[in-house]
Amino acid sequence: MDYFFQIFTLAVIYAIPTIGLNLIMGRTKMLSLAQTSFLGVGAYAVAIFSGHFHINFFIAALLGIALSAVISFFLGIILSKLSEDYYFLGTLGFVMIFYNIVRNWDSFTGGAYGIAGIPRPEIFGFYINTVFFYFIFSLIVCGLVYWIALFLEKSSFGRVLNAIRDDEEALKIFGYKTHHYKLIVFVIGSSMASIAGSLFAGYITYIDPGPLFVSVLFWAMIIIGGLGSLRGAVLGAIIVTLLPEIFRFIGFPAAIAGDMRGLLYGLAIVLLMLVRPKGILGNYKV
Amino acid sequence: MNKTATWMVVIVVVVLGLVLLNKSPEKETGPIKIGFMGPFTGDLANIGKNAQAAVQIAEEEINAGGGILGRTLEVVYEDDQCTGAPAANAVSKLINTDKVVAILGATCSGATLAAAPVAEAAGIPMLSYCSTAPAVSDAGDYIFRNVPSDNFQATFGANYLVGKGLKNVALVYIKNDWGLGLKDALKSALAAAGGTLVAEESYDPTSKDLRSQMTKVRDATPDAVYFVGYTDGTIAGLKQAKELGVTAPLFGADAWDDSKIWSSLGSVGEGAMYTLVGTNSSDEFKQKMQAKLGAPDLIYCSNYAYDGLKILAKSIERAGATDGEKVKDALYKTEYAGGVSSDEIKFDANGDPTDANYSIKLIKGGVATEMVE
Amino acid sequence: MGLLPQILANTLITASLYAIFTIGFNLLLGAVKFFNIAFGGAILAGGYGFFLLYKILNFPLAVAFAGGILLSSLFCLLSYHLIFAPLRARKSKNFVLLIASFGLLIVAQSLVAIFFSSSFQPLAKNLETLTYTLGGARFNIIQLVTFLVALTLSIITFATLKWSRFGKAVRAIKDDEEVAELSGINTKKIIGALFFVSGIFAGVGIILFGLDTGVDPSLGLTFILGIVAAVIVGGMGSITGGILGAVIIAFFQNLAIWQFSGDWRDVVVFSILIIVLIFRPQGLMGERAI
Repeated sequence: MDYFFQIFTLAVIYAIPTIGLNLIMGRTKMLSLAQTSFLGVGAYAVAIFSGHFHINFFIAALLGIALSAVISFFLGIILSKLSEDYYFLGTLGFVMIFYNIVRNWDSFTGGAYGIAGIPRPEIFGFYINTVFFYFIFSLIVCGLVYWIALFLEKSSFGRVLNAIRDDEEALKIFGYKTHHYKLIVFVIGSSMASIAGSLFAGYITYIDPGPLFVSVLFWAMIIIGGLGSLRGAVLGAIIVTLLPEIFRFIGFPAAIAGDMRGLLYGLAIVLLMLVRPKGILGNYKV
Repeated sequence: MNKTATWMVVIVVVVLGLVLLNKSPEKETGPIKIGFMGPFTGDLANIGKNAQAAVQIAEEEINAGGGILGRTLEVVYEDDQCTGAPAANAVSKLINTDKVVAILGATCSGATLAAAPVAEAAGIPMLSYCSTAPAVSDAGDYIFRNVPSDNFQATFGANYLVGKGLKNVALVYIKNDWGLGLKDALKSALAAAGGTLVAEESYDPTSKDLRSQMTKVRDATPDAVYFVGYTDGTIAGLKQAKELGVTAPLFGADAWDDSKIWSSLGSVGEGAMYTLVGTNSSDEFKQKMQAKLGAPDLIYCSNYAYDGLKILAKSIERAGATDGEKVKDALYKTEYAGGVSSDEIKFDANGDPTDANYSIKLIKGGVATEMVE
Repeated sequence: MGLLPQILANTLITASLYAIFTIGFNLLLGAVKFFNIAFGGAILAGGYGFFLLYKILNFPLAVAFAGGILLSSLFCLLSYHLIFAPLRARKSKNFVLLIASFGLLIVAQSLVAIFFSSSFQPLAKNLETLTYTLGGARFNIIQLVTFLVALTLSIITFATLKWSRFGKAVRAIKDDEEVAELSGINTKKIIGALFFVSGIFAGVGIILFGLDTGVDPSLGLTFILGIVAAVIVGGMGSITGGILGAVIIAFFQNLAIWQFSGDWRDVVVFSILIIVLIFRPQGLMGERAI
């Protein structure tokens, strides 16, 4: 039972940056690889502020969000000149730089050692200590993020975003400053990744630079679940997180299970692009 | 309409998950399960698989001897990928689904540190057979290791080098938790022994091009080069060092106890030395490993893993029950003699081994031989 | 400075390797206008193909070499016919191709790890190699060969592109694919051949590197990162640019390690990448405006 919650909690946590990425990629075609970096910001914020300085978890997480917002703001501005095909290269460069900085800054981030013993979140003296409670907690946070994304989607802001996705040039002619919208979306989406990072750190109670490396994990989740679809983002996260765990039970020798997982991701991505680039629940025409 | 459908799907998935992943509680007469965690994928896959073989041998031997408390021992193997999140998942599965009574793991310090809180909270004793980072000492009351902290290894190495008059040492280390730990330990140990650090270079774990670092090392004209690396980095690094004209002797740490390194390097590895904690694995153990794997392949930590399983089994016996707390208490009182990694194994209050024998191995003709001091 | 000759030599060695890779990568980028991340998969196919033939099946060196190159080329060709050609026929956006190529790289990486394990494998049978010294710098025979091969392949590529029919067709496609099609060039066939040829470069590079050092499954991704950096800096789609970019990236990599430490190598390289992307996105030799 606990194992079930263990896995599902991770899926729920991963759904959050996926929702954020869905905003960024699904609406405005900005190919961002940077979610892993902002996940890192949120995770290390909790690890350092909550772990070392004993600041309350939630405040540490908020600090993480603030930091992510600032970093993503500047990153977004710097990269705003790039067209969609080359945007991902800019984010790729950023991810590598950020990863290395975190890894080298021993004194602050613990470098390759990582930071262990991150305390669990605490509300009014109640520690979210068991897997079950953390699952509920993550579910609530994810629900909030989902609601925010839904709200944005249905608002006039969301309609502009859809229009940017469909035909940005037309919008620019009409006088819309599309740069601004894209920047705001990037900041929001990246900050969501930070929230997930904080949850992640509080959950595993250990963080090291590993998760900050270049990874197409979130791309895979979005693609499988469906681009441009909020529900698709969540579904994609659940599928991608759960599926490899099933391999543990099928009875592949432990030695190759991890690589089988990679094989599965890769094949899923390729096949989906060929057969149904929209993904399972997507509504973005490619 | 769509929204309802989606929620239906979610509920169905959740219920299915609950049903599928719920295993029946363990009966008192079924096999006793111990979980094993190690890296089967990634850089250190060699170590994980080799350790698994050693543990399998131990498992067979224990069962041949009547099992534990009259019940069969069953080891459940999980891949932790040498990383935090997978390790936490793996240990959770072992504890909650497989209902193991103890954990033998992990290899990588990062994996151990991530898994430890889970085991600690569940009251399941955990014995690492390979994690040498200093942080593991404080990981918890239920967390043990039979391999000593790197602090000792560095001190031994530094003392040996300075004692032989090789005072100016160049250090090259891999940039990960293990390398960092050894770097810090070596720097203080060297200073304490009266040596001087003439160069300090690090390299990325994924990088196999160490030429620039080795060039700087050559330029510093050291008496010896202390190289901290696993199999991959060592094969590449030593070859490049020799080609670039580094003539100083190369000195390494316990990860060099992998026959693949020296058989690959051939004459390039001649004269290299490394510290090894623990007694030389007995010939008998080597033969068993060879029989199991079909090749003379004995890698660092496998002997610890072998002993580790036996120690866990003995502790359960002595506790007379599989209850986590009782086994833990029994572990603290361990006095295990005749292991293949060490003559006698005892644990201190932190769950660290109290003692560590060291030896220096010298590579001659592509094979590691024990140096007579 | 006593180190300088060696640093320069190290730069030249790394640059030669990346030059070989970027030629192959840029051939595709220029003509087909997409970042074939799966090129990293071709690298793995070539390297492990050689490993299988030479070290496991014990074929002679030349046979294994040819076999490895054939494998990496076939990998690219097949990826074209099975994946990229259908996608292009459907007028899929570039980003779909990009994602598919990422997926393919992951597939290649996983397959290689499953069949050959994740450990590092030196490709040479005897790791003791001939070394030479020149002006205070030391290098071994494989590195020398790599340099000569890079030089030769560059010359051959230039000559082919400039004077052969195939080369002219490639340049026509690069300028404007639709017009080339209209003027009677069988673009699909030429592009297919281009994929095959780019695979050759992947195979040559990795086998040489593997003989000097070794291969492991993560190298596909590692090399692609460096190739992308070199290509951006030098100019996307430009063969000369790729070579130039390779030299620049190799130089800064070694400079970073020399002046600072191994830690900062990637930070330097990717900072250069971002700076170039922002201020001169077409790279040094790039012709297209972005």
